[in-house]
Amino acid sequence: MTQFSKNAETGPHPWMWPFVEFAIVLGLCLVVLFVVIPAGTAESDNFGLSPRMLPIVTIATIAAVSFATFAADLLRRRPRGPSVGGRPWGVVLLLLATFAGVLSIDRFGIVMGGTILVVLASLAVGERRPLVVGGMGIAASIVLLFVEWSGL
Amino acid sequence: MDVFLQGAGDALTWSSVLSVFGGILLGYIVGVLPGLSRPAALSVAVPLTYSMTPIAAIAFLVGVTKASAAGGATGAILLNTPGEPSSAATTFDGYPLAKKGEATRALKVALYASVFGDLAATLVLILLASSLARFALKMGPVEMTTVMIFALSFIAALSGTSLSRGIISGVLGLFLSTVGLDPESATPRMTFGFIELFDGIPLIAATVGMLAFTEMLLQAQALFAKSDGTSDETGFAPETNKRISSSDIRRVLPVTLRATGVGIAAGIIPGLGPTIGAFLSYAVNKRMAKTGDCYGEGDLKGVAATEAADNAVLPASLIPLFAIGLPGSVSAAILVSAFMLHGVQPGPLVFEQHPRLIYGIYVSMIVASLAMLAVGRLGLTLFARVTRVPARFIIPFVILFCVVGTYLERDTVFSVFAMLALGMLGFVMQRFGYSVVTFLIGFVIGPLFELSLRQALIVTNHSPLAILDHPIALVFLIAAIASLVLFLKRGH
Repeated sequence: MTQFSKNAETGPHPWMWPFVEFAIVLGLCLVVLFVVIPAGTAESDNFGLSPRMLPIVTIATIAAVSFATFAADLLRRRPRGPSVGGRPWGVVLLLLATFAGVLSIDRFGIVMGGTILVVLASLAVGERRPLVVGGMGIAASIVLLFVEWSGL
Repeated sequence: MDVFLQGAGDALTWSSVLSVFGGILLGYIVGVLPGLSRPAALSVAVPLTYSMTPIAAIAFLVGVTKASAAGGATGAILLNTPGEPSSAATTFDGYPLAKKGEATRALKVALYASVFGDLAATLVLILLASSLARFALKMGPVEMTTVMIFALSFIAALSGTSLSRGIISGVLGLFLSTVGLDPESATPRMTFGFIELFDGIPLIAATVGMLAFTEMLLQAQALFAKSDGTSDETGFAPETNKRISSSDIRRVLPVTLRATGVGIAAGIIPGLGPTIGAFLSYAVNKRMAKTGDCYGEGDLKGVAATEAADNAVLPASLIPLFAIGLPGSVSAAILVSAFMLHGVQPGPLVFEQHPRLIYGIYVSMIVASLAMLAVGRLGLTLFARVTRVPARFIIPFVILFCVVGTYLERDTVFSVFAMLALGMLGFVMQRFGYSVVTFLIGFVIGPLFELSLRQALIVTNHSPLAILDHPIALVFLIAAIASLVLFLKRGH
């Protein structure tokens, strides 16, 4: 069941969400339109369309539609905010474990790094039994050894 | 007839049949594991065929290709992790079905729809190759642009509860697909010095990140919300019904037929490929949904719509290859190298120079379809048990497949970081009610849309009225406009 933030402890007041969402989307569009696209895409003097054409058109469309979204949210007269499914610790821990695992793959290779990733991710989702964590690590190594051996 | 019987005899020898089964098994493994893509598997498999007879070699490669398409659905349904980008659309209904306790039913429909689409497209290949190939040649840049506009018009239908948020998601996907080299001038766009971005954001990183990694983040959050982390919660409802009833077949059959048609069209037209074919078929079938259908919430029709189309693409992509020597997909292009390795030059003369081989390949393709049915039917009982495994065991392995899959695609951690970033974006989008489905449609269609649009503008000298000289394009454009008007009239 989707829930929505109800008070200031979990975020802005529900009636404020349309304003917050609109400000974020429009703000990001303006940054991309006036900073990211000009800085990241050179103009070309070829005979065809500018390389900036489609990026600019798409971002301008998003900005325009965000006005419609904002208006629709206000007219709906119903508080709307991000769905909340619990505290974000699980997400944060899993992200940290994944980042550490990716760096391990980069450093130690796919078999060792992938095994470390599985062990860290198991710990991140709350598994603490050494035998289970070890077993998952071994299972991961076998899968990864097959992948490396097969050359796929 | 004698030549046909000789070819069929070649295809039914033990070595050929065993090659098909070997290819099917390899293809299934490749299909199930994300990142091990069909073209990569084919590239690795081609050298393995050096010592085989031509018919056994092609049969082996056909087996790999067909089974990887069918196997991709398994991860999509059970783990929300598409084994192939073309299976990404199967997650839209397959995974919700598995969550509802209908994993086996979803896997069965995916398998039967895959085999149906594959067999039907193979028969079309056998019967109509040359006439359909001539039609494919009429699809120029103007026609392709309107096909893409037609596909993009479905974003509105797939937006979910908020039309404007769905449009924003789709257009955001289109925007991110522009990262990389400009298709006309090769000017780097928003690459900021990263050579890895010159080819654009990897498709596998986008599909795996947006679907599988996002889902694992949501599951981890749910796991922490429910317990102290040692629960045996699987995240799936227990399976009570595993059977496909006759009423299910009656519901799903028309969708499967339509999806097969879309898949065949996507295979014949060079450049579209299985991913666009599967997404397009899902969009078309969802648009034609009847009262009581619940696409996106776990409907067998959604699974059939994507799987039949995905599997119909490969046999259909051989139509322009055999008839005019033009491969219709990346997999078909790799098959060309296998043909040439065994002394066969695909093209219109192949029917005159190697009729026995071609008939043998046709029969091998049918054998491969049947082998796929047998292997898939045996495997799905085993695969469906994944739903009984607690989430705390599943999450680490899905994360591993996500990371290793994207890493293997380009052999660089840059792709993995792109996958993680897109996974986090997907997580935020889902929490704020933005559709990941429409994002992926925009992202998948974007590059081909832009390329076709630019080519069309050059071909027509920037004149919009030039479309009047292209009747096929005109039909697609009118269909796109009619589709949008109908959708808005219905009051989404």
